[in-house]
Amino acid sequence: MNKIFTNIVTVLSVILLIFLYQKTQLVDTEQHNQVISTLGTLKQLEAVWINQVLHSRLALNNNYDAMADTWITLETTHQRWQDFQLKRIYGENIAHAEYQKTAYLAQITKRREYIEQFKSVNAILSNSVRYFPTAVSELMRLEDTKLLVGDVNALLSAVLRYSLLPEKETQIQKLIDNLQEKGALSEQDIRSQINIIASHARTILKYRPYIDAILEQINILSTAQKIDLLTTTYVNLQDARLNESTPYHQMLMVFSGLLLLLILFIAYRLRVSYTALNRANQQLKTANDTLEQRVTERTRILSHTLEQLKDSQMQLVQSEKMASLGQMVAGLVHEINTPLGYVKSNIQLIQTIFSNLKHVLQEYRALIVNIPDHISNGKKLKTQIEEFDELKEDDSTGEELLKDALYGLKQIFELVINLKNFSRLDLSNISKVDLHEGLNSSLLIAKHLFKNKITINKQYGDIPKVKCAPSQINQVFLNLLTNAVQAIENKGSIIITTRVKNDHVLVLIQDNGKGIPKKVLPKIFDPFFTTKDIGEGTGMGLSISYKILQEHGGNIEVTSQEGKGTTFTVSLPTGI
Amino acid sequence: MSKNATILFVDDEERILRSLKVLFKSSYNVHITTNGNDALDIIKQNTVHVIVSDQRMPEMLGVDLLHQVKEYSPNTVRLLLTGYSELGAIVSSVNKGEIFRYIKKPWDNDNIQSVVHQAVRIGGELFNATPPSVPVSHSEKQKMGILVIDDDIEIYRMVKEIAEPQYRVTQGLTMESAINSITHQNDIAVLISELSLAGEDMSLALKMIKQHAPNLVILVLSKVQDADSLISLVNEGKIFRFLLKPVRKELLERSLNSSIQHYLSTQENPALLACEIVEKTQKGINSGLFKRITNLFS
Amino acid sequence: MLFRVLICIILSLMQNVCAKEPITPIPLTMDLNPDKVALGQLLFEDKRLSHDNTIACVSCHDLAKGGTDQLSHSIGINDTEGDINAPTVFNSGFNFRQFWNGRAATLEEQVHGPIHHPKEMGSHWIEVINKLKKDQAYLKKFKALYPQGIQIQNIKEAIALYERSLFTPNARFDQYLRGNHKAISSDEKKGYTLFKQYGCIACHQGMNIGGNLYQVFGVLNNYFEQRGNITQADLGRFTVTGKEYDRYRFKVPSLRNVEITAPYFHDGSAKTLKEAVDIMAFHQLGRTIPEHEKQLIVIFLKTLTGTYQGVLLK
Repeated sequence: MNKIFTNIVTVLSVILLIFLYQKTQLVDTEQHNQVISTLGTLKQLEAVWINQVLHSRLALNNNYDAMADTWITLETTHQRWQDFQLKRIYGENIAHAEYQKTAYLAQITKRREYIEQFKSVNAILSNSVRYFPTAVSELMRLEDTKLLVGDVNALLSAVLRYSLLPEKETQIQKLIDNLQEKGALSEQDIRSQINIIASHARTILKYRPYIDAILEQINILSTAQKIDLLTTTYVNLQDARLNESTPYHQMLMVFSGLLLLLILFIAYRLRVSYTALNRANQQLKTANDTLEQRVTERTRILSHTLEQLKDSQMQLVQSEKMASLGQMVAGLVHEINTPLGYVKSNIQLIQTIFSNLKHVLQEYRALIVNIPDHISNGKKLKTQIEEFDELKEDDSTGEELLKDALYGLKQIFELVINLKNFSRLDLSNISKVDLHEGLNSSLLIAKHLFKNKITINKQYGDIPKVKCAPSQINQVFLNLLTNAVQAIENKGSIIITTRVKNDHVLVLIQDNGKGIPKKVLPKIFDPFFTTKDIGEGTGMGLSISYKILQEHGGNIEVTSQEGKGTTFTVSLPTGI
Repeated sequence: MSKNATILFVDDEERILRSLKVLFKSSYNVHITTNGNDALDIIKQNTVHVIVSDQRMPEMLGVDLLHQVKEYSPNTVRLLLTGYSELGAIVSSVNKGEIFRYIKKPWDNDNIQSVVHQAVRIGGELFNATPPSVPVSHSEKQKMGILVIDDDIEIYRMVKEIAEPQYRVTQGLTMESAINSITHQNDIAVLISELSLAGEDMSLALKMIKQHAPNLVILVLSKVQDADSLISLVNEGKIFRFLLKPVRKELLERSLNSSIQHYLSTQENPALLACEIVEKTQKGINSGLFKRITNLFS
Repeated sequence: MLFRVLICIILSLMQNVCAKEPITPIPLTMDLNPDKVALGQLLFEDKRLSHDNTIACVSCHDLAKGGTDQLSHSIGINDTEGDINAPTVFNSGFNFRQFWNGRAATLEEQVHGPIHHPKEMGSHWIEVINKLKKDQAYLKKFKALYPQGIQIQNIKEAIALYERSLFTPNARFDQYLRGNHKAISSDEKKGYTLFKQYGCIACHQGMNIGGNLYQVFGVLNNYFEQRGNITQADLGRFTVTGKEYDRYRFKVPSLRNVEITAPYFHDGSAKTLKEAVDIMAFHQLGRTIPEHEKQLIVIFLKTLTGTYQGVLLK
């Protein structure tokens, strides 16, 4: 009897042990990571997709193949998501996640409908905008259209402006009516060309606001936030799963303890007659110990991998962003410089021709005075010269215009150089860099943020070149400048100071904005920490800056007083 | 200017060609083409004094074109005109194309005119010079020295292994000692130099050395540099080879041999030295470093 | 945020620089499982897929007739006249959706349509599978390629794969796009320029020269009011979404091989290319094209005829 009882207890204990052990093995990290990375892919794909929409709107994409392909990839990715056995990965509690997923799918389907609408409308609108100037010149080529010149040109410029800027349409409507009225009595071919112009103008009138509305809808329907929420939900579910296993883990320990006591008790009572059982119990005890050890070890590894994964994902996205930026800048600079090259050369050539021409005319003017009126076309020539003298005023204006054109080209060229310096693809490796150059490039790129609101005060000291990766350090500068601008609510100033301290170069970026609250200050370098509204900032800027500086053996520090302003201090070692 | 000289522009953008043609047609016979293969045909059929080529072209890259031009018509002075300075392209334009100048787009008309005029003059001299008949004897070769300006002992050792005992190999560990060697030992033929020496930038010194002694052949051996400073080393320092560290021994040996060959040919035929003219350095001319180097030379 | 803007700007400029022509050539080869393609071909040509064993897919998508039946409206079982013009099967794999109204997302999904349409094949999956299962040869072939044997999903896949293999590369215009400037004559080049200038390119672009967006038929001048007698098929995507916006909206058809796929439009109303160009110019672009320019556009369109298995289509 006693033997049967003991057997049953042993069997039950083993079953309970196995049950508890399995419960602590619930968490499937690998599958979870795949789900999270699928979501990441979706987010990226959508960003690409929206980018393609914007290119098409600006007539920079000349076909819709890429857009169609992106959607197909998105659908495949959705399918992959559907194929995950979410219940197995996250347990039964996924109703909320499923709800969010349905909401996301509904939203992206809706967004896609708008994008299809966009493609249709954009094809029509861009065609009419492109054709409009041609239609006008076709009209002007017809005979007896001189009277219409003013009206047509007014309409042309109004329509072209309208196609790009949000302006009032009533005026254009008036111009169209006006043109049709004036042309009503003209020949058939003029009338029909006017009708063509009018119908295209109306098309632009109709579709420009329409396409803006569609783009706004597309923008509103951004699913990035939904994906972020889903990611959080999945991560929470995963955390819950990890937590869920904790009580079992504790139970396992308590149970093992109890079992041990029981075994000791039994062993004590029956140590002679039940030596065999005793031995079995001993084995069981050892098994328990290893089990527990494995459980603890596993939990530790799991949480560690999770941390690492988050970290590396963040860095990967960032470095890819930078790399693609650099490559794009490289191509861009070449392509801009080519036309810039001949435009500049041509203007210089025209300048020379212009001044030669002026000179010749001067000579001509002197010569012509001596020719009597009756010889050849003396009188006519003199009149022409007089007319030319009247034009003299415009003459010098012409030179001024050419000078202005050259000045403008120089400005474009400088911008290109700065853009290149900013990304510095050719300096992918670490090299000695003048930080002032980097600061100036960053300032130029952030220039539009300052507008009239902010004054920049540069207090550059005498600092040596520093070994660093310029594209990364520039990114830090830009980041800090952007933050400074955002901290300043009305008017304010940013002071940039550079100096050497011991064996470090310091760059201080100081604003007199609203400052950072004390309780927030310790958190600002944490990943994903942001005070901005969702969608405004990623909350990654400062943590990435921190990481970049750490990799450079430098540091970034902050001091702030609420209401008075914030100072960020970047320090980089001067040594090799 | 005589209109006897012929220049050739190659660019895949026709508007560039049109603009350049207008600029130069009054002074020279100007050929233009958008295609590298056509350019080679023109080179084979005419005496072309100067070729100016773009780098990025769909069918043939500028450096590859210039490399072939060097084979077919070594006297044609080669210039690269390009909008984006990509490090790899500049390195191979130096090593493969042995170009005379590197011109950046957008160019300045006065500037490009003076560079092209200079190139035409040199091209003319090269075509007119008759190659000497007497080969240089072996004994003269032995006198030649190679100066290694690098604090990396590995490089010094490698050069010694390659060049000794045929040539005399010495090492300069500071800018002062390097310039001192150059001014006091008149047997140095080839400089093998790192660009950063004991934490100092050697670029300016190299440019001034080349100004001082145009017959010296400079071989730069360095880590990755940025494109702009490399361009200025071409235009203002006329470096003969640029090798990226870490360098393999075979490559160094090959480059060293070409450098010596190049030195010998300029010795045999001094007309070739015309090509070694450099542009005066503009940047850093007021710096303390500049004064220091000037003092070293005086 | 700033970065994103910057990247956007640069990306857009790059795009502009890289993609010069709005039309891109069809790839010369495609990697498809040849056994499955062969099975797909058998099914495509098998009349047992229709209720009364009279109609196969190939009946209305005859490869010798440009992948169509060259009829205004197709003829289904019991000699019933269908509601719509059969689009060509050639290059259909490159379209972003299938059917004139885009109701199927993929070729696999598309297979379902004609098999069940009462005026086309008038059958049903159960019937089709029962018939096929009686054929030992099919049983064997399916078993070899699909572990589950004859199933709806597998029939769909095989047919779709075969259809994907029906692509027509190496049209003279594609040769031109690949850099052979002598592949088309100067008149044909002029035609292409006019094609772009008049704005045809706004919708007919990309690899398939269409087939990647929806557009209203009658953008500037209402087509259906002029033609009259509006049918269900004329409503286009409206029948799929029920949205007023989608009334008269169709998938823009591909212009590849257009020379040999007359008659044109979903209603097969245009008998010649010239007629089609006229209608398009007036209703979509609000313009009339002079005779000689129309002629040039038409000869350009004829350069779009590609080859199937190395032979130029006729």
